[in-house]
Amino acid sequence: MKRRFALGLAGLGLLAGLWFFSERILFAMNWTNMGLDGAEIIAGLRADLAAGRTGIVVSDLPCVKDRVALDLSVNLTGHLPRGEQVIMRISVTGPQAMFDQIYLGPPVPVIRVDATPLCLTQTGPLADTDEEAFAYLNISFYDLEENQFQSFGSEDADPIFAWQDINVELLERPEKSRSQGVTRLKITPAM
Amino acid sequence: MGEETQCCILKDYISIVGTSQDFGLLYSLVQHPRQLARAALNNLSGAEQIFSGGMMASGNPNSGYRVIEDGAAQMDRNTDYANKMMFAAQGVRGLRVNSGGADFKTLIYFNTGYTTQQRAAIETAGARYASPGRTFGISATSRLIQLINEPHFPGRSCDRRIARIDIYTHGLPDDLAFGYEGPLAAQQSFTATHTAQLDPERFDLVGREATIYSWGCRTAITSGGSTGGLAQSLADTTGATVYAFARRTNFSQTWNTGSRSAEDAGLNEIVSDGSRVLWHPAGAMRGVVEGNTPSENPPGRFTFRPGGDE
Repeated sequence: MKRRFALGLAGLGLLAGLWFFSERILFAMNWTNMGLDGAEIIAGLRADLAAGRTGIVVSDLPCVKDRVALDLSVNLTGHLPRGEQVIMRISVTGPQAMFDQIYLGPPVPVIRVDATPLCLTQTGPLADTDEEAFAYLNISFYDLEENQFQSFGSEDADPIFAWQDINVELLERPEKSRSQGVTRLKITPAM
Repeated sequence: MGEETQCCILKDYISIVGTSQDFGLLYSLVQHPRQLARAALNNLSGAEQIFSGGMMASGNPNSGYRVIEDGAAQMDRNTDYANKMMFAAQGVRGLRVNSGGADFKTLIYFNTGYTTQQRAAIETAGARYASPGRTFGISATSRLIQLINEPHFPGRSCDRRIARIDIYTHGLPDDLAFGYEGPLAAQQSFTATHTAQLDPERFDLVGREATIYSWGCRTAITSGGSTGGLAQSLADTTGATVYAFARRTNFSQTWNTGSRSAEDAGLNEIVSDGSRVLWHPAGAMRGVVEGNTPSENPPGRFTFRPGGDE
């Protein structure tokens, strides 16, 4: 009985180990060399880090409509690469976003940003059906030592600004998106 | 070059080109699992089979896909082969085909992800089909906006006005993704916040309408599924008439040589830094057509005028 239990446990351990390593193997397969552009991109990242541009980078754009500020939190699950020379950049892109980057630095599982500025076309609280609430999230990893990068994004936008607190699952195996495109992350509201 | 007219306006035609990256094996596995499986079997068996890659719709055996020597075999395992230069080729074709009546012809291309030789090929085509000194390799949307807003051509005192812009790039609802999936995707994104920075005076042709054609996917629809989106925003800000699609667009005719062989049509390859891609010095053979996804989005090319008068 004990032997069966031990064998079962070992089998489960083996499966879990394979799964654990498959994520890393698939992640490693997705690195893309930056080639000719690498030196300039890496220099830009190092300059941003040195200058402390590691949080939200607000665009210097006028907003002639209703400007509001939202707090955002991003909770990441999935494989996060490690290494002194690996940098993560999170960007949010949307028609109303008055900023682009929300984080630049070592890979971390939780990001919180206060007062991200939005320029809305209508007043009132955002709902997840509003056009104003939709945005794209892009998470890029840069290996400064190996001159390579990889991005996690989607061909579909999500109502990030209505949800504000979001869970993001990084997908090493890309999936079909809602619009028959491709997605490499799943975004859901944090409860 | 046109004469400086009495009212002293010089018209520009602009062709804007985004980047096209190789998205890799796992991406192809999701987008084209059957083709990828077939290509893998063919690679193993040594047979020739066309695999056109992530963003190309389907291979046409009578087209230029059956290219130089083992080009078809390249398709089996190299998703860059036909895709990497497709936007640039369409941009060069735009200079040839769509620039009639302009005093200057301008080619602006996002140069991220290309090898030195690939950039050189685009620059050479630009030197041939754009006006002298009017080919620009850029890496950020902010530079694109600067170039569009230039009030004068260098060394000329007349006002610069834009007669027509053609945009060849990946597109998402509310976003012209000039650097889609690339290392500078955020800096190369173009949304309504960027549209607001365009100078409407550059599009004021005095008695004639300026036009903007977006050949990118889904420029005419919002993330929420309404028609308009970035296309309407461009029309409202610039005063130009904007033509765009709500569905994805299809660049699969880029290298279609019709009844001619690849050699007769002048198709060639650029092999550099481990990258092997199709190219033609005069750009694309044929233009961009509408795709069929997402099926819930309305089909056809939409026209947007300032103020929402579609």
